[in-house]
Amino acid sequence: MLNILTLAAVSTEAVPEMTKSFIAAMTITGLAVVFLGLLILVVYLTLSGKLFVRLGIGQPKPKKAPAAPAPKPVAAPKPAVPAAVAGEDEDEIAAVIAAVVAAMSTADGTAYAVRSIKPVRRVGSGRSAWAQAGMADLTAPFSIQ
Amino acid sequence: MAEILNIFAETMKGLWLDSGLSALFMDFTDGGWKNLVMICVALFCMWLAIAKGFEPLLLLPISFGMLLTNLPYAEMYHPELWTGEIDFGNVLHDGGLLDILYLGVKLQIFPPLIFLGIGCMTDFSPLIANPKSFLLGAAAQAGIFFTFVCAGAIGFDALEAASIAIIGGADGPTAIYVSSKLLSGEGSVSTGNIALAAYTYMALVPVIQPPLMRLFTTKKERAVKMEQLRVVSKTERIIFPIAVTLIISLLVPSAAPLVGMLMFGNLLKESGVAARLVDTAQNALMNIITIFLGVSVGATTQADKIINWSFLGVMALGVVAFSLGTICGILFGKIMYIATKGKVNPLIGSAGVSAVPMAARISQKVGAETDPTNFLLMHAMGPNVAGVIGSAVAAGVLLAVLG
Repeated sequence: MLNILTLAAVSTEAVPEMTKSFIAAMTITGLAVVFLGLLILVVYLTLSGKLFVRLGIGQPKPKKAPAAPAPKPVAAPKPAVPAAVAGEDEDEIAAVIAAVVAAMSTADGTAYAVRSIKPVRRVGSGRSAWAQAGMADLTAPFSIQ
Repeated sequence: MAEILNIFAETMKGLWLDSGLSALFMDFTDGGWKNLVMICVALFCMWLAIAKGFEPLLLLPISFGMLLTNLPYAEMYHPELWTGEIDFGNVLHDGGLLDILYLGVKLQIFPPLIFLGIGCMTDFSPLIANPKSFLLGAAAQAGIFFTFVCAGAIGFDALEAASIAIIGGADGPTAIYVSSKLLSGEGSVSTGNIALAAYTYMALVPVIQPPLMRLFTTKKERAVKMEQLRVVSKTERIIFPIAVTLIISLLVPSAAPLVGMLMFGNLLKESGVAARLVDTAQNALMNIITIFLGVSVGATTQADKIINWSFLGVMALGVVAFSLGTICGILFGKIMYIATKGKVNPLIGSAGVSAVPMAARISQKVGAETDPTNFLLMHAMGPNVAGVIGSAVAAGVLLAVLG
């Protein structure tokens, strides 16, 4: 191995012959130097990244938790919706959903009831529906030719 | 009257003999047909650029340079000036327009300036947030060195083999930088051959990579969703180009022109205090250099450099280089998948072959085929920009040993 590496070092003097040992030396040296150079950068970035995170430089500051709004009694829509959701907006959304379901009941004659409305546990990306739509929009125009 | 007709006939004959048409058709069997073939190839490349959108910003100037250089008697480019020991005074005195522009290639001025513009346009945040991406960028460079082995086995000499192998870096300016420095112009391989192969395959990345990505990964691996990257502070982004320049240039000085200019451009961008310079570097300067680089590299694609078996070898090895780079990146991605217990999607490994941002978008596309809610784009941008640095380091190694 030492001979091979020495050969690569000596070869800077003139255009070398493409012997098997030179080709092997070139491949090994090239890969080793590329990995070494980039490995040093990995170590540097990992350490500096940890330092920056620990010092909190440039990290987003945690937002102050907003004061919880006082619960507001809202008349239960018909059909009745359990109070599984909190806040004024959620109540309005529940009312809209209930109204849509009631309209369906009128349309096809079948009785439907909203038993509960629960927040959906997002699987995978953890992004909101709007963020998902945005990402899909940004990446959609690309198509493999 | 007879004398007037005589002079007219003599003048017309002289004009005909001085015209490119006579060179094409009178010397048809003595190389004229090769010029005609090259003019057709140039027109075909223009069609690819205009109608099919294959790397039009580069393919169009390259193909027009090809057209100009293959017009007999146009005297825009003189290959004899670039053979063996170059007399630059002679080039300035006797050179045509394309000879003068080619000085920027031969003296290694244009590729680093292109890198300056690329640096101004590149966001290294995904790489800083996930430094392990550097390893994928390094792994994909294995394609360069394995292609060097293949080129040696076929019979190319060391300088030609290195120039062909660098095509695997999937980085046009780097390929031109290395080949213009290593190739003397006496052999059958020219910088134009290398540039043509490099840009052709870069345009074909969406065709070459996806089948390999599907072949070397399982559905389970392709479906891996990676953790969201951390936020990178402005201070980190400013220090990064300085640190990379110092580390890489001290380790491989011959990579300094490429890496240094890339990082200088990035520092201009990230500093936020040189908006005018950034604007010039990434728009006006980049566009001017692209025109000069493309048309002068195209000028080196003369008939005798293209219509030979060596060019077919270059094209064949070019696709080998791209494929090997992609495969090595994916395989290293699989190693990281195992090492991290399934937290790394191996598809991002293929983006390590540079070709920014196309290779990263391929990772995104193939990942989304398995799971449409999987967004790998930003994760793949890490190896992708690491590949640019990795290919510059690989180029530095080749130049250090062979240059």
